[in-house]
Parts: sequence; structure tokens; C-alpha cells
Amino acid sequence: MAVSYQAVGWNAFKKRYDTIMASGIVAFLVSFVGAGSFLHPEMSLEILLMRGIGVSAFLLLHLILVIGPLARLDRRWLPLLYNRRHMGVTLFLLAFAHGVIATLTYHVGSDMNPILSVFTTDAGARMTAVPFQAFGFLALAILFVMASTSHDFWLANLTAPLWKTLHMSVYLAYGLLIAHVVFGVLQAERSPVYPLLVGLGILAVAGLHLLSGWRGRDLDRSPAFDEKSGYLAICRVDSLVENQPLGAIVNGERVAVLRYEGDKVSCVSGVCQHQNGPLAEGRFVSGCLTCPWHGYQYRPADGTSPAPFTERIPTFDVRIEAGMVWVRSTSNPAGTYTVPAAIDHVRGGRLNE
Amino acid sequence: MSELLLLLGMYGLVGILFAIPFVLLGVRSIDPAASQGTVGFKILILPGCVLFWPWLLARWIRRKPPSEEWSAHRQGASGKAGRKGE
Ligand code: FES
Repeated sequence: MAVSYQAVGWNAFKKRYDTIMASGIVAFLVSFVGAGSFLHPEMSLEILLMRGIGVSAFLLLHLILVIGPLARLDRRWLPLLYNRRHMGVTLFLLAFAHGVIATLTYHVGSDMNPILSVFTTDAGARMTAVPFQAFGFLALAILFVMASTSHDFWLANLTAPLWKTLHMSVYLAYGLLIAHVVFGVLQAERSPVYPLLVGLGILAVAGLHLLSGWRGRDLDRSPAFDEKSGYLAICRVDSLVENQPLGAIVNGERVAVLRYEGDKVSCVSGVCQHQNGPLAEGRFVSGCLTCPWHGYQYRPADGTSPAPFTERIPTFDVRIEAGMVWVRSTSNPAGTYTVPAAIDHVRGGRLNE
Repeated sequence: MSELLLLLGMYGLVGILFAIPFVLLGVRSIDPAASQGTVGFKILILPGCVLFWPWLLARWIRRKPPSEEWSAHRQGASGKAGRKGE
């Protein structure tokens, strides 16, 4: 929620996250090169390094792709999601280093333009006729577009829908990289372990996406609607866990219903102003509903970010009746204060209005 | 193929020539939040400016600020064609 832009809005969490990520990558590279030079003493250091960097990038991409569905399935994964864009930029840097070493090793020195050579000649004689390096190059181009537009400035200036669409191309990059690996490395390897590992990776990415989509299907059903009052029944009062927002669909769009400060219930739009993040998957921190993606905050009663920030989201009138939470189907203008509904403890949250 | 590479190279070169004055001067006229942006911010957005230079140039000329986020709820609340609940 920067008032003016800075390179990175550092906080203790991001520093810890990045330190762990960087040390993990370094540890992986050291072990990869160490084990590689022991098992394949004939291989040069730059080839080992190029492969190690490539493998670490490929693994990181898998991690990036499964964090979203994992966090949907189990909230304990959410902290990993908060700083995913740093992983994305790191992924690009690794992929770029891999590409540079490969190009320098196989494509520099002849008369041909090295980039042209990536598309037309093969690295090593053992590879198939499929231009597997071209797949890698195209994937790298996609990762470059994503990394170079990962700052909030781009989100605001490209607009969230376009930005989101652009960043969905990570799946295209994933497909290209699978082709790069299958037609490249796997052609040169005899051991069945490598295809098995690649298969497992694809299975994990696809399986977790399908599973989280299947689990989330309940959210897409419209709740009961009271014609006269214009209110929708969202859930039973006793199903609301304090400080844990609940997602629902009102008028075809996501909302977040929150029980907080004991007996108050408020409802705001479930779509974060920053990047359309799922507020219903966020947490209630210091009096604010906090977006799980990058931590934008909104007060539940008026949908407004605390000063000095200025973001506002639409709010919804809420009432509690017959043990149910009802939400008005039309929203109030963004930032409108609405009196939170109160759960009546005397009647055990059964009736109140 | 080599013609395509040449074209891409030229696009990138113009992008670089555009991006430097843009991050120093132009960016603040299209996004108020960028007027006090740090040096680190300006360096970070440079590659993107090289990529998207024609579109940024058009916005710089028109001094167009970022458009506000749209959502059905927001539109409904502002009185424009909001759907009633079903
Ligand atoms: S904070 Fe980024 S989408 Fe909500």
C-alpha cells in the first residue's frame, strides 16, 4: 500500500522469506555441482552449473505454481503466497543465467547470430531434431515480461485485469519448459528417474489446481434470496469463526463476511483494490481485514484502508435473523460506513435485528 | 528470421532511448504515486518501460493517469446498471 513507489517495500517477513529462498537455492546449487562432479567427472564446471541453475529454476517454477492452490486448500500455506512475486523474479534471474551460459557454451563462436543459432542449431549431437532450445528461449521471454512488470506500478498502470492476464502466461511458460525438458535433457538421459520426476511435477501442478477448483465450487452457488427485503442468506451465524472471513458470492461477485471484536459482523467486497486478491482468504489483523496476497488492509465497517492509505472497497448492509447472516444484494459505494450487525449472545446468536 | 531479429533489436533500442527520459521525467505525469518514487523504483521499472514504450509514450503525450479499478459491485454502487440479486 505504498503512497509513493519504492523498489521493494521491505519488512521483516519479506527479508526472512528472501533469505530462506536464496540460501535454499545456493545450497541446492552447491549440492548439485558437488554431486555432479563426483558422478560425472568428465563434465565441465560450466555445464554442471548451467544444468544446476536450470533444474533449480524448474523446481522453483513448480513451487510458484502450487502455492496458490495449496493456500486455497489449507490456510497454513498462505505465508508462502504473500511474497510470491520475489520468487517469480528470482525464477527469471535463474532462467536467464541458465540461458546465458547455454548460449555462450553452444552458440557463440560461429558466424551466425547467437540468438538465431538457438533457433536453428542443436546443442550437442545427441539431441533430437526438435528445437528444444527454442522452447526454452520463448519461455524465458515470457518470464522476462512477467518479471519486468512485477512491480505495483505496472499493476496500477496496465490495470489489474490486463496485468493478471499477462501473468497467467506463466502457464504457457510452464508448458514450453516441459517441452524444453522433455525434448532436451530427457533425450540425453538413459535413467527412468528423470521422466518420472517430470511426470510427478506435472501431476502435482495439475492435480492441486483441479482439487482446489473442485473444493471452491460451493462458493459459486448463489445463496437464498429474500425478494422483499433484497437480502441474501449467506450462512448460519454459528458457522462464522471469529476473525476468520468467510467468502460468498453476491450479485455474481465475491464478498467477504467477517465476525470480529466478539459479536460484530460486517461484509465488504471480497475483491482487493490492489490486484483483485481474495479478501475472504485474508486475516483480521489490527482491526483490519488484511489481503492474503500483499497485505492491503481494509476496516470491515467502512471498507477503507487506514491512513495514510486511501484504498476503498464497497461495503454491504448486514443483518442477523433466525440464526442466519443476511447480506443486502446491492453494495454501498466504496468506503461507506455500515453499522456492523451484532450477534445476540442472550439468544445464542439465534435472533437479532 | 534474421529480419525479425533486426526488427526486435530496433524496437528494444528505441525502447532504451525512450525509457531513460521516461523514468526521469515522464513517469510522474502519468502516475502521481511515481512522482516521489525512489531511484530503486525507477531502475526496477526500466525493463518494463523498454518493453511497453509505444503505449507509455502515448500515455505520456496525453498525460493520462492510471484508470480506476472496475468491479460489478463498484459499478452497482455508483448507480450504473447494477444487477439486482437473484
Ligand atoms: S494486497 Fe495485493 S491483491 Fe490484495
